[in-house]
Amino acid sequence: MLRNRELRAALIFISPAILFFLVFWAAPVLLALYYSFTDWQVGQTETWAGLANYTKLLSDPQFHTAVLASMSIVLIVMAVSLVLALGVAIVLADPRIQAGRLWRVSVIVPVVTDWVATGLVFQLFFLPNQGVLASFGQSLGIDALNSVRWTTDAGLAPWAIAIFVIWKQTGLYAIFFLAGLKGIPGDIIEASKVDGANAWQTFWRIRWPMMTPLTVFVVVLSFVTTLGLFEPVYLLTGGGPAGATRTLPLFLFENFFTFGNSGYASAAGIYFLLLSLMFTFTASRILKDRDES
Amino acid sequence: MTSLATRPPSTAAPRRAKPRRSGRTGSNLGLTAKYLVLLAFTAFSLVPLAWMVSSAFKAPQDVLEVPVRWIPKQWHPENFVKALMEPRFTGHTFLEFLINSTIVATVTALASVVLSIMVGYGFAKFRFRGREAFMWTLLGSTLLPFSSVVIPLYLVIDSLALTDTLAGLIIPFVITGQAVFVARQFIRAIPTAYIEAARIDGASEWVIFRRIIVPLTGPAVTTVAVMSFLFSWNQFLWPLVITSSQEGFTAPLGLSMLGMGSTFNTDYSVWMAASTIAIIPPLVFFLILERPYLRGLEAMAGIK
Repeated sequence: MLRNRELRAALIFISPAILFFLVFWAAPVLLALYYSFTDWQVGQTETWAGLANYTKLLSDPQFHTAVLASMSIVLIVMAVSLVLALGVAIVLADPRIQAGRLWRVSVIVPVVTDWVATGLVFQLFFLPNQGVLASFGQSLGIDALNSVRWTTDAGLAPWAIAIFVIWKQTGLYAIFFLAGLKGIPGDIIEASKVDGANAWQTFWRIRWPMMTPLTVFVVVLSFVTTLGLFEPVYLLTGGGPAGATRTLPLFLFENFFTFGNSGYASAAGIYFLLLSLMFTFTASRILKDRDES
Repeated sequence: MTSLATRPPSTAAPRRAKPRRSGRTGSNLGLTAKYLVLLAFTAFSLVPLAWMVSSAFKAPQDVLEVPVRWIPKQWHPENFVKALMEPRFTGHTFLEFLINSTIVATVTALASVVLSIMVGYGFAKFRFRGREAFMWTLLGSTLLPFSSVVIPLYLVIDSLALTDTLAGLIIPFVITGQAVFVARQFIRAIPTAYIEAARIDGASEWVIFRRIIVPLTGPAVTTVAVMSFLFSWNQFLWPLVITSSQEGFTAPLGLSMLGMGSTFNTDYSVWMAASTIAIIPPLVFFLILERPYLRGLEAMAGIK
């Protein structure tokens, strides 16, 4: 009897989550799935189109460019920000560092500020000739920085976006790594030192292996987060020049909301969703394993 | 790993106050290098923000001055009044957008606290079939990049006639997998014995929740509140997608329009004043609640 009462209570407590999951997750995805099989354009009734959208996407050069643009930004951001984050975390984990809280707060401040407000700042940093970076360059005697067209050169634009994203997100990953490092029991480190291990060995033989699950989590998280970023691209280049930085989120947004190719955009969205799902479920799987151990 | 985030932070206290005597020069060198790394990185983090604040006080023509001047030649605090009060965007002011943002973020945070504690309790202290599968699906689904579900979500919000309303900005985010997960991590630390004792004494499930669980969820409440508030305040893509009339603009939406189309404005000092104002609420919130926020991040990563 008690079991029954408990079960009913449990259902009531989690019912908001069930409702939410159905209305704001399952229903939308099913709806988008349906539209992805139609030729729906804004303002017209849709007719069934089967797999047409999906096959068309695979041969659409704009879609290819979008995938490539997304991937190149993701790779730059991950390579730089994860290394930086790990470095900063190792430094912050050193108990001899004074004023730890002050450093920690400064490291994480970009994470809590707004994309748009800071995006305006980076717009002005990247202006050619009169921008802030150009002006730093002049002060340092590097005149070459003056004429760099950060956001309008097809080769540089992904880097400009990546720099902004690295600035904004590295602190978050550093905090994750720091928490991981601090979670390692002090006596293990102590014991390794007694056994004569130097700092280098302690890191690679003890800290790093113990942090592996967390590292995988951070890698996956940074991958999906960066892949899904809309704001930095929209604010710095708007997808330009000539579509060179039109990433997946921007491709979806433009096709759906600007051009009204709703069925087509829905299909692209389903590809994007499947790609992201593969990675997020890896991440939540890792969390689950950690949770159970 | 089963011990929880409510553990006092003192466990992370310095393990050794003083460096060992042997190899002191080498280790001092290492320490200096570490400070240099920190200094370089925090400079990278703070320079754009410092430049933003300093430019907010400058005369418009001085913003892009060469070389960069950190202390304004002349102070123009009236930039802030201009940024807030000057009507642009079809007669609306940035102050109105800030008020919208405040309403949206506050309501989201409050609702999210109530609902996450409830749901988190359900997941933390009851056993039922499918519990684990549902919990991890919920978490996995909200770790997804928002832009990959924005079109589907738009379709639903549109069919509920919630586009272009503040409610449409709030409702989809009052329950997120992250908030539920964080609440669950905290609530799991509450001893189950309390609940069982109350049950034996004949307390109803609701009374147990109200009288025993809720009073013990202090840290979870602040953590979920600060995370939801920051998330909501900084949202951009969603308001951009569902808001068309400028009465309903949030601060980031208003900011993004400064440099665009009919409202084009190259008074960069006003841009920076508006940006400075827009980052103050989340920054203040974060600085006051830094510890709960960091604890939430740690709970997210499954540490403790």
